[in-house]
Amino acid sequence: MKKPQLDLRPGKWKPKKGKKVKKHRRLRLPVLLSGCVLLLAAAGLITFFAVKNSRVYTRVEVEAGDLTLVPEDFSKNGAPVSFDPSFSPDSVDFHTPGTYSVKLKSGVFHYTASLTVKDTVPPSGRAVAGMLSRGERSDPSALVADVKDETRVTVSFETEPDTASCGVRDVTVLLTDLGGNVTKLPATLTVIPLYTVLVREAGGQLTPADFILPDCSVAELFPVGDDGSPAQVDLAALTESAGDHPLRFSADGLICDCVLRVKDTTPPVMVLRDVTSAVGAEVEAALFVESVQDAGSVSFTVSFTAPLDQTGTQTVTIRGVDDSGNAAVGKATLTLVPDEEPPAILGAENIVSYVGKAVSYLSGVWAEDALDPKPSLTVDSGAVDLQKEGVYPVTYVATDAAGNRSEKQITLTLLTETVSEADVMAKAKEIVSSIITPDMTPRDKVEAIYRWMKKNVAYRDGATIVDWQQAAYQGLTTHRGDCSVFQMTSRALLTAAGIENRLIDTVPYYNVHYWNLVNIGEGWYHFDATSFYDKQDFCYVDSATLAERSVHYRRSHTFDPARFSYVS
Amino acid sequence: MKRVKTILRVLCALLLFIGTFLLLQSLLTPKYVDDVVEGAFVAEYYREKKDHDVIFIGDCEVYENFSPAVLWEEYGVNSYIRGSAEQYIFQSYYLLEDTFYYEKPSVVVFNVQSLQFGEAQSEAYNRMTLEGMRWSPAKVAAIRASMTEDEHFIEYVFPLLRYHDRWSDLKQTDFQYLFHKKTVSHNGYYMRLDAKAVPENLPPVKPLGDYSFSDRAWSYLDRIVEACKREGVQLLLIKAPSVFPHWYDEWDEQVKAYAEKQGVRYINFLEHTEEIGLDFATDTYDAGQHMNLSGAEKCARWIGRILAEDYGVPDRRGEEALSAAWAGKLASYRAEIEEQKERYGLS
Amino acid sequence: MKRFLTALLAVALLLGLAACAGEVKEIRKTAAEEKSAPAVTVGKEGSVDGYVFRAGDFSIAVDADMAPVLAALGEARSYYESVSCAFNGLDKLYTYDHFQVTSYPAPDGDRVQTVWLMDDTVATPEGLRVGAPASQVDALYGSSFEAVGAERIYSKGGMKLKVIVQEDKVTSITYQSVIADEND
Repeated sequence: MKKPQLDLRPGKWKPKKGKKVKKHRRLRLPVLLSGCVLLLAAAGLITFFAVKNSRVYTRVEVEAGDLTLVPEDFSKNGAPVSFDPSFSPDSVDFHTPGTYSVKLKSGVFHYTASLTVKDTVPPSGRAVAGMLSRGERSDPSALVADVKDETRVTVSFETEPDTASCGVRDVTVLLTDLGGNVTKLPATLTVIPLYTVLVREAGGQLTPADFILPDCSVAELFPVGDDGSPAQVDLAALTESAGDHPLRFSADGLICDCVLRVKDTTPPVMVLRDVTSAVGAEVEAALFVESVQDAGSVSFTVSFTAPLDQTGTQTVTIRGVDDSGNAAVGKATLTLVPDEEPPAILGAENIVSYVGKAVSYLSGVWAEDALDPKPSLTVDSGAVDLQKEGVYPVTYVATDAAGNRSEKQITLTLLTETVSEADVMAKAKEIVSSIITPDMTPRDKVEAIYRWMKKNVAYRDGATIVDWQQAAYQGLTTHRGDCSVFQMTSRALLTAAGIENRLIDTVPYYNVHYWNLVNIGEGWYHFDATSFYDKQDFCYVDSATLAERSVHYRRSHTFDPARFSYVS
Repeated sequence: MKRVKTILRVLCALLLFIGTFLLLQSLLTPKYVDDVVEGAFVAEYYREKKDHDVIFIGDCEVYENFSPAVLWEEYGVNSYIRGSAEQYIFQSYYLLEDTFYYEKPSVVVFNVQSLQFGEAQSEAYNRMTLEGMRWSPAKVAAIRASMTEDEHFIEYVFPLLRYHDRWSDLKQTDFQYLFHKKTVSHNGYYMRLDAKAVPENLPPVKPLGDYSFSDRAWSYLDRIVEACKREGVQLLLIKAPSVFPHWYDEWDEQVKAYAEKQGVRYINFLEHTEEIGLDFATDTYDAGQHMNLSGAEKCARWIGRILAEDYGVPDRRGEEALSAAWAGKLASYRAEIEEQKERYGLS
Repeated sequence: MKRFLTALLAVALLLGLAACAGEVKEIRKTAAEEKSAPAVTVGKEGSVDGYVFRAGDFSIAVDADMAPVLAALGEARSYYESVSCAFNGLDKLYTYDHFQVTSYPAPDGDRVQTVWLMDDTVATPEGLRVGAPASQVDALYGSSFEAVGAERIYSKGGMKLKVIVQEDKVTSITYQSVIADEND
C-alpha cells in the first residue's frame, strides 16, 4: 500500500497524536535559560554600577576661594558620603588651581574622585600714584592697593618704566593670578629730581635745596600745600623734632612728595631739683626733673643709694633717655621724713544708680596726703550685686606710702529703671526711621529690621528679663542680651514698623528659646534674630526650616504645632 | 485542565511575588535591637499573655522610671509598660484603645508629660511607636492622627516603600532577626544601671510666654479618661520624677485642676522625691532626665504600695502559672543586671 | 530572534541608566554655606591683636580659653549659667570685684565672650574708665569707629570694643567677641 503523501499546505498537516516535537523544545530551553542567566548577570552588573554611580560625583569642579572640603560636595541625590580614612581634606589647597584626588566612601562603595580647583576670576585691585627719585628702580607692587584674588597674584609692569629722566609716566601694572587671569591697571609714576627721603640730624640747618639730587638741577623749588599752592614751611623747626616729616615741593612745576627723616643723636639736657618725700612713699624719677630739652620725648629713671623705708637724705641718680636712645645722667638729693597722717578722702557721696548699669565710684572722689603725692584710693564694692535692686554699702579706702589708711563709707542705691512702653516705642521708632524707607515693601522692612538686629545686637548671657519693656529697652540701647532680649527688641522694632507680630517660645527641653512670628499678609512665618554661633539666618522662614535646625541643635526651636497651627 | 494549570501558575507567581515582597520588607524594616531599642517596645506587648492588672502608658518617663519586676516581686502586681520614645498623647490614647482590645487591667497609669505636644514632631518617633502596633482600627486612627506633612499612610501599610533605601545600611542583626524578634525590654521597662548625677547648680529655668497646652492635647486626655471610664478601668495620672525637661508649676496646676474636675487622681512624683527616697546623685543615668535601675525600682516600690492599698490591685504571687512566667522574667532581669554591671564596670 | 532583540534592547536601556556616571558637578559655595563651617577659628590665646583687658598682671583677650582666665582670677564673687540660645552648651557669667566675664562654649572648651567693666575702679589698658568724658574716648581710641545710637564700636584684631557714651560721659565699656556676630 502506497504511503499517503504529506500534505504540507497550511492547516492541512498536523502531527500525529502522541508525537511531540520534543527535539526543538529540548534545544530551545537550555538556550533560553543561558540567555536568562546572562541577561540577569548583565543586568546585575549594570545595576551595580548604575547604583554606584548614582551616589557620588566623581568629577567635581570648584572655583578657588576660602572653602572647606566636605564629603557632601560629592554627594549625588543626597546619598551619605564620607571621606576614606586614608584621605586628608587638608591636602586640597583651594587657593592653588589644580586637580586633586579625593578618596570617598558611600555605603559599601569606594571612590577616587577628582576635584578640580579653578580660578577663572581675574584679580581686582586699585592703582595708586607712585613717586620715586630719578634713577631709582620702581617696584610695581607700590603702584597697586587692595589686590584681591583667591589665588596668589604676581604684580609686574607691562613695560618697565624709564626712570632716567624726571617727569610723569603713564604705566600699566599687570596683576596675574595662578589661573592665568590678568588684570591691567593703568597707573601714574612720577620721577622726581629730589630725594624721596632725606635724613638729617636733629637741630641741623636745612633748606629746600638740600632735597635736590646731586646730578639734578632745579631752577625753581619751593614748598607747597596739599592744593599745590605755595606754603610756608619752617624747615628749621622740623629738624628740632625727631621722626618722619612729610613735605611737598614744587620742582620746576613737578609736584614732589618727600619725607624729612630727622634723627636725634644728641642726649637730652635736664635741669634737676631736690625732693622731700614720706618714708615708704613711691618716688618717681619725674619728680626730680625741673625741665628737659630734647628733640624727642624723654623717659626718666631714678637710682637710689639708700632704702626708701628709712628717714634720711640720699643722693639719687636720674637718667633721662630720649626716644632715639640718647641718654643723659644727673644727680639730685632725696630727703625722706616720717609720715603719720593718713590721707583724706574727698568728694565721696551716696550714689543712686540702676540695676544692670556700670557705676562710677571714683568720679569726683580723690585722696590727698601731705607727703605722698599719689596715695592709693580703692573701692570695696564686694557687697554690691548690680543685677538686684537694693541699698549696698560701699567703702572707699585711701592708703599713703607710709601705710597710713583712712576709710569712708557711702551707700549705693540700685533701682530698677522703669521703662514705659512709650519710651520703648519712641526708641524703636527712632531706629526704624533710620533703616526703613517709604518705598520698601513689607518683606523689605522685615529683612531690614532683621539685618539691623543681627548687626547691632550682640548675644550675651544674663538672667531672662521678664518685663518686655525692660528687655526691649536693653536691646535698643545697650545692644546686648540673651534671646529674650532679642525677642522683645524685635517685637518693638516690628511693631514700630507696622509689621504684625507675635511671640513664640519652645517646648522646654534642654533650654527655653524665644523668638518671633511675623505676618505681612502671606501667613505667619518665623523671625529669629538671635545671633547663633553658626551664623544661620531665620528671617521669614517656615516651620520646616526651623525643624531642620531643631533636629541638629538640641531641639532649639521645637514648639507644639497644635498651639501654633496657623504658622506656615 | 489547562485553565486550572494557568490559574495555578498565576497563583504561584503571585505567591512568589508576595513572599519576596514580604521577605524584603521584613529584611529592610528596622529591627530596633542594636543601639535604638525603643522602637521594639510596642511590638513586644503582643507576645505577652494579656492579663495584666496595671498598664503604664506614656513616653520614656514611664518606660525608664518604673520596674515591673519590683512591682511583681514586692506586691505581686502583674504590670506592663506600653511605652515608646516620645510617645505623643494621641498615640497613648490609641495604644490604650488597642490594649482594651486584648485586656481590661485594673489600673492604667498615664504620664502627663506628653500634654506639651498636640501634634507629632517627627516621622522617626512616629514610626517607633506606630510600626510595632498590630493592625486594628486603633492603629489606623493612630497613624492618621500622627502623620506629619511628609508622611503617607501607604508607607505604614507597606513599610518597604519607606525603607527600600536601607539596603546599604543592613547589619547582621537585620538578617539574624528576620524571622523572629529579640525581646529587649522587661515587660516594657528599659534598664540602665549607670549613673550620672544631676548637677549641683542647675541653671535657672527660663519662664515661658504661654503655659497653655493645646486644645488637641487636652481633647486626647479627655478621651483617655472617657475610655477608662467606659471600660471600668481606674486611671491614675502621674508626672514622673524627671528633673529636666522642667515641669512648670503653671502646668502642674492645670493638670491638678483637670484631675480634680474629672475625679481622677494625679500624683506629681517630683513632690514626693524624699518619700520615694530618690537620690539624684545616684538614681539617674543622664543627669536627671531618666531614672536608672536604682531610681526605677524605688519609684516602682512607692507606686506599688499605692496600687495595692489605694487601688486594690491584687497580689497574684499565689498563681502558679503566672509565678512561673515571672520566674523566667526575673531570671532574665537579673541576667541583664549582671551584664550591665560588667558593661559599666560596676560592682 | 525576537527574544534576542528584546534582550538586547533591555540591555541597552539599562546601559542608558548607568550612563549617568560621567557628569561633572560644579560647586558654587555661597557665603551662607560657609557659615556652617566651624565657628571658632581663633587660637586658644584669643584675639590678642585686638583690645585686651588687663586684670592686674593677667591679660584677658576675648575668644581666649577660659581655663587659664579662671585659674588666674581665682574664685568669682558670683557665678551664673544658663543653657545658651546662641551656642551649643552653657552660657556662663562670672562676676569678679569690678568686672564681669562671660563665656561661650566652643568645641574645645569655654572661651571668653565678653568682659564688661562694672565700675570705674578698673580701666582699660589705654586708660579709659566708666564715667570718663567723651573727649577722652576720642583721644584714646581715635575717631575711626562705627556709631550705633549712643554706642561706639571700635573693631580691632577680630574683636570689638564697645563704648556707650551718654550725656558726654562713658556709661559702659565692653570687650566683645564677634564669634556670633553677623559677617560684615
